[in-house]
Amino acid sequence: MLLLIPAGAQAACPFNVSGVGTLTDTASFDLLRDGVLITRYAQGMRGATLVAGTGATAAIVESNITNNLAQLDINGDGFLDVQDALVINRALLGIANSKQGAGTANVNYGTRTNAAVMQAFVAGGCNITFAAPTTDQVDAARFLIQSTFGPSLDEIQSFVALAPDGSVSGSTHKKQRSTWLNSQLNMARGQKHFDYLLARKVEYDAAGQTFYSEMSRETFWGQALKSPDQLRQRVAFALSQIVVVSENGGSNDPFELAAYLDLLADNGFGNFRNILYNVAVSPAMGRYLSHLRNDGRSANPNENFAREILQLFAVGLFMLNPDGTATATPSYDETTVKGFAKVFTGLSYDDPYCKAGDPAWAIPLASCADVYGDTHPSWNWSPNRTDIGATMPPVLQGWARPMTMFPGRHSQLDKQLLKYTTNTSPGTCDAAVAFASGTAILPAINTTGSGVTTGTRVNATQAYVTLNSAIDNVFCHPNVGPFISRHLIKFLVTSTPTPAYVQRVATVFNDNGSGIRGDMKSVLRAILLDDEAVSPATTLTATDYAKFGKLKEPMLRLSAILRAFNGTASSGRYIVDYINGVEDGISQGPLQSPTVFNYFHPDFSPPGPVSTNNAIAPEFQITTTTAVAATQNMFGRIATDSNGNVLYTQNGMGNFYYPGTCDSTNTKDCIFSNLSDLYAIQASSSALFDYINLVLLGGTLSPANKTTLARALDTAYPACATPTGSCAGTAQDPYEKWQGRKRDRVKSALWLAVHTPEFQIQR
Amino acid sequence: MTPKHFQERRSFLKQATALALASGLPTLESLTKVAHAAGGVGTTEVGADYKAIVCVFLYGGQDHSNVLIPYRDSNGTGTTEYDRYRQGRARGLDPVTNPQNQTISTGDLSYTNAQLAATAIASSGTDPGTSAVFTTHTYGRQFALHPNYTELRSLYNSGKLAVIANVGPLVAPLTRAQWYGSSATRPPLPVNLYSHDDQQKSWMSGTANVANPAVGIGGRIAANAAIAGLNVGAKVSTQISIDGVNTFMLSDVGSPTSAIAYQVGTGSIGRLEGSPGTYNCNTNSSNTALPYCVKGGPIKVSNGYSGNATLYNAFRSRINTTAENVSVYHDQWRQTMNQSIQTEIDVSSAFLNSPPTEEIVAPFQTVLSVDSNNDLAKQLRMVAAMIRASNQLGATAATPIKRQIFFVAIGGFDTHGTEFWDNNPRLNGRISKAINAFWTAMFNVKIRDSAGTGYLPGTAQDRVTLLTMTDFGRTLDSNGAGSDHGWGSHHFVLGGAVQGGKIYGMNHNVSAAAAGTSVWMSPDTTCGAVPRIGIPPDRYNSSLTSPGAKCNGLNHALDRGELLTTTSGDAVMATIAKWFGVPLTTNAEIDAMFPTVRAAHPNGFDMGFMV
Repeated sequence: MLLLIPAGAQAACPFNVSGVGTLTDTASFDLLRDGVLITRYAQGMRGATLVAGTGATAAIVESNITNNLAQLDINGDGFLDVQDALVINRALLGIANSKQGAGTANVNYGTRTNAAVMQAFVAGGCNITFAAPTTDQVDAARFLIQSTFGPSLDEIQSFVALAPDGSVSGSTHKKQRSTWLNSQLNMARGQKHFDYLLARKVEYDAAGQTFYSEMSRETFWGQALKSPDQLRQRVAFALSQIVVVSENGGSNDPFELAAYLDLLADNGFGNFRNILYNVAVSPAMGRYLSHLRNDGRSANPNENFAREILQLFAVGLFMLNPDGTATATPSYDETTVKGFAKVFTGLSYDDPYCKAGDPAWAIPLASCADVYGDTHPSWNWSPNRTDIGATMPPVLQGWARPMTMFPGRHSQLDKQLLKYTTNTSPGTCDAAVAFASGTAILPAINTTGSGVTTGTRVNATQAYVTLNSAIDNVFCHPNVGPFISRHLIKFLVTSTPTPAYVQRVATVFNDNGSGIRGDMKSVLRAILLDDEAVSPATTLTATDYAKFGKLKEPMLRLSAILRAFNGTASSGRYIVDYINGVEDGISQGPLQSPTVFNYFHPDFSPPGPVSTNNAIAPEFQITTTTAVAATQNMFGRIATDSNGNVLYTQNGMGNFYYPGTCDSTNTKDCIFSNLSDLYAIQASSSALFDYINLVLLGGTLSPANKTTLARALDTAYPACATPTGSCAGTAQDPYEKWQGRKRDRVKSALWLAVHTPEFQIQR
Repeated sequence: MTPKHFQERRSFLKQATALALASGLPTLESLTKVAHAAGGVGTTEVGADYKAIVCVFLYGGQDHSNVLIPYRDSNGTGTTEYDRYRQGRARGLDPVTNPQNQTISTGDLSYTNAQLAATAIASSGTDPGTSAVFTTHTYGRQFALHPNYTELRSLYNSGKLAVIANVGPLVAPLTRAQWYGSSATRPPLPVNLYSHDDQQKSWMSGTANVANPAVGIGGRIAANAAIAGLNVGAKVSTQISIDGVNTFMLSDVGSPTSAIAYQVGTGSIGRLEGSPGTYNCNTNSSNTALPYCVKGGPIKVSNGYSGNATLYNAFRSRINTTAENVSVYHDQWRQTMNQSIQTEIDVSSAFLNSPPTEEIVAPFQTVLSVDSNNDLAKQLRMVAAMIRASNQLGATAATPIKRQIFFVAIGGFDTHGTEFWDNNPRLNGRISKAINAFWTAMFNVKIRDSAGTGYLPGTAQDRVTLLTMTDFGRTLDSNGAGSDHGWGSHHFVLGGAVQGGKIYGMNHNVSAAAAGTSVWMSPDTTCGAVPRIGIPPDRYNSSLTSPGAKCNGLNHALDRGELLTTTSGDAVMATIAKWFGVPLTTNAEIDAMFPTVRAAHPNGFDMGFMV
C-alpha cells in the first residue's frame, strides 16, 4: 500500500530509503516501507532484520541511510534515533503541524530541540546546504542593517519576497524598500516602555522585592531586539543620541527614563516640532538639563537647556548652507541664550493635586485656589518625592506627563530669540520668520490685567504663548532641516554623506511635498530611499564610495548578533545590563551617555585613514585602543560562550545574562539563539560563511577574505563526516567528539565573523 | 606579519610563565615580591632624561569662584572683597538675613569666611612694576583655596603647586569695554565661547580661533621633531590617555607613529581575548589559576594571548596598518585594533617585568579605601603605573622612554542646578586627594643615571608637571540654583620644576611701552589699588557708564561675574612645553606649536612658573 504524502510537506527530504524510486521523490514515500525501515534502523536493526518483510535490500537501505544521515537526523544530535524516526513517520503520515514533533525536545547534543524547529527543517526539505547569497538578498541585508537592529535570514527572505511599490521609480530593490517602509511607518506602536515597567513593578511589589532600578535598560532591549516595529525603534534610538538624556547625570528614575524612551518612540514618526516641544517639557529633560523649576524671578535664570536646545538639538553654532555644510557665521550669541533661558522658566512636574477635573489623572483631584502661584507647594512636588507632605504623596505616573507651567515662576522679562531671515518653509513658517527677521525679541509680559488675582504675575496662557513662540522660532530656523537630516543620515546610513544627499533630505524636511515642514515619515523615506543609501556602489564615485558607510555603534553590533539567530529569553525579559564599561563592556548603553554631547561628536574624525581621506567617523571616538579590544571580547564571548551542554543542547548562543553565567536559577532570562541553520550546514565551511556573511556582515565579505576564514576554520576544526576515526568518541559516548566538532565549527565561524572589519562597518 | 606577532606573544608568554612559576603564585603581588627580591628587575625608576606632562581635565566647567576665594583684603585684615564675593553669589539676597545652606539649593553659592580659614594662603609676589607682562603680585590680597583643597593647599605651601589666575582660551587681548562694544572694533574672540564642547576643544587644541580642531596640543608636542626624536622606537605611544579619545591628543596627518595616542583603562589595558576555548582573563576572578592570566592588585595585566592559533592568525592577518583601500572605516578599525594588540603585548610585558609596586599603588589605595568612587585617583594610579613602566618601554633596555604625555579627566562640573552643592565640594575633594596621591607616588620613583649604574638625586616629582584644564569658569552670579557658563577660570600647575606657592596672572599694571600693542595699559586706579594678578576685586553690577563702574579697562568681570580671560591657556601649555624640551625660541617655532599665543600675548608667552 502506498501512502501518498501531501506535496511540499517534506519535499527534498531523503525519506525514500527503500531504494524504490529516487531518494527524495515524494511520490515514492511510503510510510509502511520507508517509515518502518527508518524506525528499525533507529532501533539498531541491520541486515536481514532491518529489511524483513519490506522487500527492500539491506545493503541499499543501509547505504541510503548512512549517506544521508545529516538530513535524516531531524533533531540534529548526530545520528538517526527513534526521535528522528518518530518525526519522520509523522511527516510521512501527512502531519505538517505542530504535532509533527510533539514531545521530542531536549535530547543530548540535539541542535534542533523543539517541535517547531524540527518541523521547519522537514518543511524546508531537510536542507543542509546554503546557496551563495543572491544580489537581492545582499541588498535586503544591507537595507535591514540601515533600518533595524539587525536582520535574520527570515527577515531577509521576507524582504526579498515583498511586492515592489509601483509608486516609486528605480530598481526593484528600491521599490521593495518603499513597500517595507510603508508597512513600518504605518505600524502601530506596541506596548509602551512605561507600561512594561508598571507591569514589572506589580510583580516586584507582589513578591516583596525592591524594584530593579535598571529596568529602563531592560525595556529598551526588549523592544529593540524583539519588537516588530524595528524602524520606529531604530529611529528612537537615533533620537536618543541627538536629544540626549542620560541616567548618568540626574535623570535616573527608571520610570522617568522609560517615559522618555516612549516620548521618542511615540514622536519619531511624527513632526519634528512636536519632538522639540515634547522634549522641552519632558520631566526627564527638565531634570537632566536642569530647567525643571528654573525660576523666572531671577534676572538670569539657568541657561543649561536653553543653550543645548539651540546648539545640540536643532540649530547648531554656525549658519548652515542648505546642504548642511557650515558657514563662518554664528547662528546666535549669548544674548539669545539668555533669552531662551528666560523662556524655559516656570516649568515643574505636573502634580495631580491641584488640577481639578483633569480627566487624564486617574486619582481624585483637589482644586487649589491659586493654582501655581509664587509659593505653591506643587512647585516642589515630584513623582518620587516622599517628603512634601502627607497630602501630596508621590505618584509614579507623574513621570509620563509633561511638565506644567507655574506662571508665577515664569520670567516676565523680554526675551531675545533667534534672528534669521531665510524662510525655508513658506506657509508654515511665515509668521515665525517675520518675527525672526525683526528684532526677534518677545516683549516683556504685561502682567496688568493678566487675570491673576494675587500679585502681579504672568498668567498661564501668556507663559504658554511664550513657550510656543520660542519653539516655533527654533523649529523654523533654516538650519534645522540640514542639521537634523545630516544627523539622522549619520545614525542610519553613512558617517560621511555627500552634501547633495543632505540637501535632498533637508529639502524634504522643509517641505514634504504637501507643504508640511518637519514630517519625520517623509524625512525617513527620503533618507532610506535616496540612491546614495540604496545603491552607493553605482551612485557614488570610487573615492566617495570608500567613505560610504559607518562604524556601527557598539549597541547595534551587539543587537545584530542577538537578532541574527532569533535570540530569545523565555521569560520575555531582556536583561542586557551593565554593558557600557570601557574595559569590560562595549562603551555604550541605552540612555547612558556620559554627557549631553552623546558618546561621540558628530564631526569627529580620528587620526589615520579616516582623517587622511577627509572622512568623518563619530563612532571611532569611543573606539579607543582599550575599547576596541574590550568590545570584541564581549562579542567573541557572546558568539562562542558555552555553558557545558546546557547551551549546546539548546542551540545556545549568546549566553547573555549579567554577570555572565546562565544556570538553573536564571535560565528563563538567558537569551538563547537558534543556531540550527548553522549546525545543519556546518560541514561546508563555504556554506557556513555564506550564511553568516549575509546575516551579520551584510554580504560585504569579499570572496578572498571568505576563503581565508574558511580555510582557517577547516584547518583548526576539520569537518567530521562520521563519528569515526579522529572523530570517534568513547564507547560510553560515541558521538561526543563528533558533536563537539560541529559546535566548534559553528562557534569558531561566528567568532571569526564578528572579528572581521566587515562586521563592525556597515556599507 | 601576524604569525610573527603570535610568536612574539608566545615567547613572551614562556618568559612570564617561568617567572610566575618561580614565585609559586601567578599574582601581581607575588610578581612584585619576586621583582623586589631580584633587586635588578622592576626597580621603581624612570630614565635619566625622563619628563612627563599630566593633563587633568575637569569636564563641565569648573566653578572657579569657589576655587580661589577672596579671604582678607590686605595684610590679614578686611573682608571687603570677601563680602563682595558673598553678595555676588547670594542671588541678591542679603547674606546676613539669609543664612547659607550648603546642602540644599538656596541659590546661595558662597562659603562663609570662617570656612575659608583652613585653606587660606598667603599673599604672594613682589611688585614687578610696569615692565613685566606676568606677575605674582597680589597686592597684599589674601585668598583661600576651596575648603576641600586641603592637600592642594599643602602642596601650594610647599612651593610645588602654583595657581594660575583667570586663564582660558584667548586669541587676542581685549577689554571689558571692547567686549560690550561694537563687534566691528572688537578683537577676535575664541570661537563659540560658552559652549562646552568648543571650549574644551579650544583648551585642548591651542587653536581657539578655529571650530572643531583636528589636532591637539598633546598631538603637536608628541609629533614635534625634538620630542619624537627622544622616543624613537618606543613600544608605546608618547601620548597615553586614561580617559578615552580626546582632542588634546589628536595628532596631525603625517605624524610619527609615536604620536598616535594610546588609550588605556583605569584598571586594565585593552587586551583581546582568545578565540573559542579561553576567556576572561580580565573579568573573571576565577581564572587566576590559568598560567596566561596574571591577576591581583588594582591593575590587571595579562601575560599573553591564548586560544586557537590558526583562528587567531586568520583574524590577525588583516589587522595591520596597510591600507586595503576598500573602506576608510575598515582601514581605520584595522589600524586601531592593530595598535591595541601590539601595544598591549609590550605594555603587558613591561607590567609583568616591572609590576606596579606597592609604593606606586599604595597612596592611591589609601584614597580609594575611603572613597572608592574617586575615578581620578584610579586614572592617576594608572598614570603612575605607566610612568613606572616607562623604563621598560623604550626601543631597547638601554634606551628608556624619555617623554610621556598623559591625559586624565573627571566630570560633573556643569553645576547649573541643584547639583551645585552636591557636586562641587565632593569633586574638588576628589581632585585634591587624587593629585596628592599621585604626587606621593612620584616621590617613590627614582631617577636612573644615564650610565645605568646608579641613581641621580631627586625623584620623579622633579620630572613630572601636572596641570588642570576645564571647559570654562562659571558665573559668580547665581541663577537661583547654581552657576552658568563663563569664560576664564583658575587653574593649578604642580611639579618639582614648578616655582609654586604663588598665584600667577596677567600684570594689570603693564606699561604701554612694555605692552606694545597690548591693550592692558593705562591703569585706572580710581577704585584704589590695582590688583596685579588677573583677578578683579569686584564684579560689575551696572553698566560701564554708571557711577558704580570701577577700574574701567582693567576690570575683567563681565555682567554675571564671569571672568573675561586675561591669560591664555596656551601660555600655560607653552611654558610647560618649553620645559618639556619643545624648541620655542623663534616665531616660526612658536607659531607651529601654539598658533595664537603670540597674538594673545604680544610680549611673550613665558609665564615664568617653570624653573
